[in-house]
Amino acid sequence: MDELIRDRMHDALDAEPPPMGLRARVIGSVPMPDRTQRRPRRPRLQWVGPFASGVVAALLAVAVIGGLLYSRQAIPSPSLGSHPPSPARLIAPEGIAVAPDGTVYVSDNAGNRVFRLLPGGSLVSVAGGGVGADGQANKAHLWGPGALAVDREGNLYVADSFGGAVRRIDRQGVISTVTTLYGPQGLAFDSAGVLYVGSYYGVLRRIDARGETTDLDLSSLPSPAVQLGNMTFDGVGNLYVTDRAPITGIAPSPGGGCRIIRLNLTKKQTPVEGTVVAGTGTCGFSGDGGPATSAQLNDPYGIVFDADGNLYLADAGNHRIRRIDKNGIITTMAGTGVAGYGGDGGPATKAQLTYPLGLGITSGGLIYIADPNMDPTITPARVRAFRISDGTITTVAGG
Amino acid sequence: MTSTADPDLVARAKEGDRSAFDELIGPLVEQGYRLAYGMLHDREAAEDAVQEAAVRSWRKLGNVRPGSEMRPWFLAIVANQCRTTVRGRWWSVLRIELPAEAAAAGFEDQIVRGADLRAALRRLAPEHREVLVLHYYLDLPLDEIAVIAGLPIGTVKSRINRGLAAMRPFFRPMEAFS
Repeated sequence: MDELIRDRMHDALDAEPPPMGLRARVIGSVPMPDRTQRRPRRPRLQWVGPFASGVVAALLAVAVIGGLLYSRQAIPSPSLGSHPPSPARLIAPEGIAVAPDGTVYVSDNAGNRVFRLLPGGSLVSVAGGGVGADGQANKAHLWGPGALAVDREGNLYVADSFGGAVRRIDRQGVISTVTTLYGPQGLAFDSAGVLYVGSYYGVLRRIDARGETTDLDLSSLPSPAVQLGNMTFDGVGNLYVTDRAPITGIAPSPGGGCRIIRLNLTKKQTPVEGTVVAGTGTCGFSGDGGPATSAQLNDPYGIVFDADGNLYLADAGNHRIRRIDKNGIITTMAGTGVAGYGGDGGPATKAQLTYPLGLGITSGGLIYIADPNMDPTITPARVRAFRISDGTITTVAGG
Repeated sequence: MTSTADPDLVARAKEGDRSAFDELIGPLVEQGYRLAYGMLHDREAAEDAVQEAAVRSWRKLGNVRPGSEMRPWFLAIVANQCRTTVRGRWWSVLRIELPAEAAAAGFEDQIVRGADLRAALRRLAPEHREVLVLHYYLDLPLDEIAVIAGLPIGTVKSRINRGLAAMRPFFRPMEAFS
C-alpha cells in the first residue's frame, strides 16, 4: 500500500519538477558578504592629481548649485522612484497611500514590491524586488508589503507583513527598519506625526518622532479580540481601525471580526477605549441604508475619511466600497456585490470589484482602490479610482 | 542519504564563502523545492519559500551544532516558510476561493478521469499535507519528519493516518474503478 501511495504522490507532484538553475538562483540569492574575493585595486593616476582635483571640485560646485536651484521647484519625491518607468505587472495590490504632494504609492503584496503610480498609469518600482536588508530600497527584499503611509516630510512607510517589520523609505530612496512585529497590517500618522502600527495579532504600537515605542493596552476593546487591519485618523484624533475577518487557526480568538472600531486616543488613558462604529461581529452582507452598527461587513480592510467626514471602507469580502456617513448610515458606493471586473466610466454601483483592499484618497475627493484578483497567478490585478463627486469609477493601472 | 554539518564548512560559509554555503545547502535545494511545492502547489511560491529558507539558513548557521544533520535542519526551515506562507492573509483568500466544481465532483469520478490528486492534497489541512509529502514524496523516515515538523513521532504518525484517511479514495488501486 505504501508503494502505491508513493507512486501516486510522485505521479501528482513530479509533474512540476524543480525549475532549471534553481540551486544557483537560491544559493546566489543569499546576501552574504563575499570576503573571499579581493576587490581589484583602483589604479592611481598620479600625473593628473592636482589638475583633476580642481576640475572635480568645479564640477561638484556646479552640480550642487544646480541641484539646489532644481530642488526649489515643486517636484514630488525627486529620488523615490527616479528609475525609468517599466511595464510593471501588478500581482496583488494591497496598500495605497497618497502623499501630501499628491504622489500615489501602491504595494504589491504578492509581487513583493512598492510602486509609484504615474499619471499615465505606469508603475515605477520604488522598493523591493531585491535581496538586501537596509540600504537602497530598490535592492531591498520585501516580503508581503501591505499597508502604506506617508509622513509629513514625504517619507514612505511600508508594513512588510510577512517580513514582520515596518520599513521606512526616505526621499533619497534609502530603506531602513522602523520596528519589527508579527503581521503588521495598518499604518497611520496622527496630526502630531506619531506613527501607529496595527498588527493582525492585535498589537497596536505607537512610535513617536524620537523613536520611542509603546504598545497600547487594548484589553478594554469590545470583545472578541481584534485582528487589526488598516487604520486612519478622523479630524479630532480618534483612530478608526478595521477588524478583519478571522482566519481559522491564526486569529487571536474564535469568531468576531468584520467590524470597524473607533479608538479614543485623545484621552491618553489606558486601556484604550473603543466603540464599534460598524459591523455586528458576524461576517456577511446586510444593512445598506440603515445604521452601520447593525450592518454586516465581510473582511473590511482599507478605510479613509473624505473632506466632509464620511468614512469609506473597502468591504473586501462583499466586493464593495461602502460609505458610513456622519449620521452613521451605511451605503454601498461601488461594486455590485459580485466579484469581477467591469463598469469603467459608468456609475460605480453598477461596476464590479474583485477584492478591494487598500484605499487612498486625494484632496480632490478621488479614492484609489487596490483591487487584486482572486487568483494572482492567472489574472491581472488593477488599481481603480472612484470619484466621489459624480460616483463614477475607472481603472488607472494594471489590467 | 543525508549530510552532517562540517564545522569548517559552516565557519567558512558564515564568513561569506559562497562555495562553502553551496556545499552545505546546495544539495538540499531540490528537496526543499519539492517539499515546498508539495505544500504550496504553486511553483513561484515554492521557489520563493526555498529562497527565503536559504537566506534564513545562512543567518542561522551559527545555531548548527558540529556533526548534526543538515537535511532535517534545512527542510525544517523550508517547512516553516511554507507554513508562514499558508498562514498569510493573501494565501487564505486564495484557498477560500477554490473552484467549487472540484469539491462537487465525486472523488471516484475524478480518479476515473485521471483528475487531480494535487487538488485533493491542496484541500487537505496544511499540517496533514506536510507530513504526507515528507513521508510519501520525499521518502523521509518518521524520526526525521518529527525533527522537521517539530513534533513527537506519535503525532507525526497520527497526522499521517488522518491525512491518509482523507485521501483514501485517491490511494485505491485503479482497477477498483474500471
